[in-house]
Amino acid sequence: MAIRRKGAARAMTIDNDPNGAETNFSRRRLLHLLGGGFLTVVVAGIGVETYNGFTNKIMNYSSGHAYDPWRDWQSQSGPLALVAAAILAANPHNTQPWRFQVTSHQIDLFSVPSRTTGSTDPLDREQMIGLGAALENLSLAAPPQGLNAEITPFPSSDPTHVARIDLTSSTSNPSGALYDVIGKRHSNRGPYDSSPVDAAKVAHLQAQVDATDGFTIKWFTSVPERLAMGKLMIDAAQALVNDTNQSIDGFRWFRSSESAIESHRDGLTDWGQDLSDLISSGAVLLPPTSRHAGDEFWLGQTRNVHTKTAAAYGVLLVDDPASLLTRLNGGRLLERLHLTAVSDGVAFQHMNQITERIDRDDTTGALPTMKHRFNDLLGSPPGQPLVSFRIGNPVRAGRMSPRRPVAWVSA
Amino acid sequence: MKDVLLTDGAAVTGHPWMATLVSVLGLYQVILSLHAGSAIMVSGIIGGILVAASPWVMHRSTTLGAAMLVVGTLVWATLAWWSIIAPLTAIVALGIGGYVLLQTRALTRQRSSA
Repeated sequence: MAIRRKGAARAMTIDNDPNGAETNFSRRRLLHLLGGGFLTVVVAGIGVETYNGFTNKIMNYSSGHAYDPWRDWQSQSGPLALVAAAILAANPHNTQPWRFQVTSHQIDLFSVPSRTTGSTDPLDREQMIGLGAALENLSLAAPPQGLNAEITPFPSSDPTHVARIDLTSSTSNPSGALYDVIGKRHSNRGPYDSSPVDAAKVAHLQAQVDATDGFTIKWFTSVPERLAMGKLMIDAAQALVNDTNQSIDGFRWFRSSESAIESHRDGLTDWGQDLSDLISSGAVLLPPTSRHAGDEFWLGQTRNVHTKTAAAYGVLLVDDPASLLTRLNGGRLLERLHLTAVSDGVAFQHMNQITERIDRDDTTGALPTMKHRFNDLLGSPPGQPLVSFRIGNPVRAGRMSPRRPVAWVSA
Repeated sequence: MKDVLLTDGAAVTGHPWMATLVSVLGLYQVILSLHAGSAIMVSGIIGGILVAASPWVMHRSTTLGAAMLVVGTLVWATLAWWSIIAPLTAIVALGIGGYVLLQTRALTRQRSSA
């Protein structure tokens, strides 16, 4: 086959065409073919990302069944309605460490030891607090069902038996402000705006603490206080990331694909980081995050978003943070605080890396550096830290986290 | 020497392979919109069908084909701008569709002057 240049026309002619006819093969035609090939590859690439976006529900992250409990929680009746509210409670790493045994007149709440963050929560402090939060939602949901819930904590020798709730008919049927926002309560991990939280709203939170025996709260509201607290939060996050076991145990609960979210219906997600829609979409379209990248991302968010935009920090203080009953009641109070914040339009994020490091140091026998630093920061308050959180005026709403439905967690 | 190598029978549109790519992009748009909220879903599905059909009506009316392409892509891409994939799909569809439009127009002129 011979190809010859055709001078001014700048076209090539291919002789010996299989059909016997001379075929014109111009440079323009060649460029068309190359361009067509390139565009075909581009469209194929978009096809791959379309598949990614479709399977990961990029256009509506919450359209899957993993988020149904947030939409359907008021559709149940009787004792199951209480469980439907309980499963929406705040809990560590969205591990949902609960199981419910339900009869017409009684609900038993059990912990599930395997649903733990391991070395991140080595003393099960956060797990019990999460169970307390579930108990609070359950309690708030009783009156609207015409039920009175009588709670007995740790009613048996079974260490996983957290509470027994005896249900009796009640004549009153009020639906409280906190109950009404159970389905709107989401941890807000996004940025908060720079304005301080209205004093009246902080007073609402303070009133919840004041009404609970055995608890006080230390607020960090001034700029120097917030800077000092923020520094400790960042250092604790860095220490967590540097601790391979804590990093692994934390990352175990990260669900990086829609199929993982739908099959587990628990854990942390890209969307739950409350990034902008644009950034979240980018995260969904990219390959799944590695543990190292996830750690670096969280550390960056802690440094540049969580601590930088917090309007205030709150630390709940108790006499004995190791007491199971204190933790359970602390969880109930923490849920009430979060619901109060949501009711007032205040963003709320649980930030427990400092106590996670304190508990880790306790269990490994390491020098209690973090404990000393936290105590120095707290001054000499009447108590020990149980949990910490930040509040602020939200830039955007917190997103839903996946939830296991009532049928999966109750019998 | 003619650069346009389409035979009369195949010349329903300016460039069949490019037209096919535009239709595939319209199909992507429909697929992506299936999980979306109502506004994005409706604009995505209707828009995707318009985009998919647009290159194949250009030989009858380039204006109608162009309008289908522009409306089909832009409304959806504007509503779902934050998704990255929607504006990307729209830009590529507009680019390839624009090329098909020019080819179709040139072919129509050639045939009418022949």
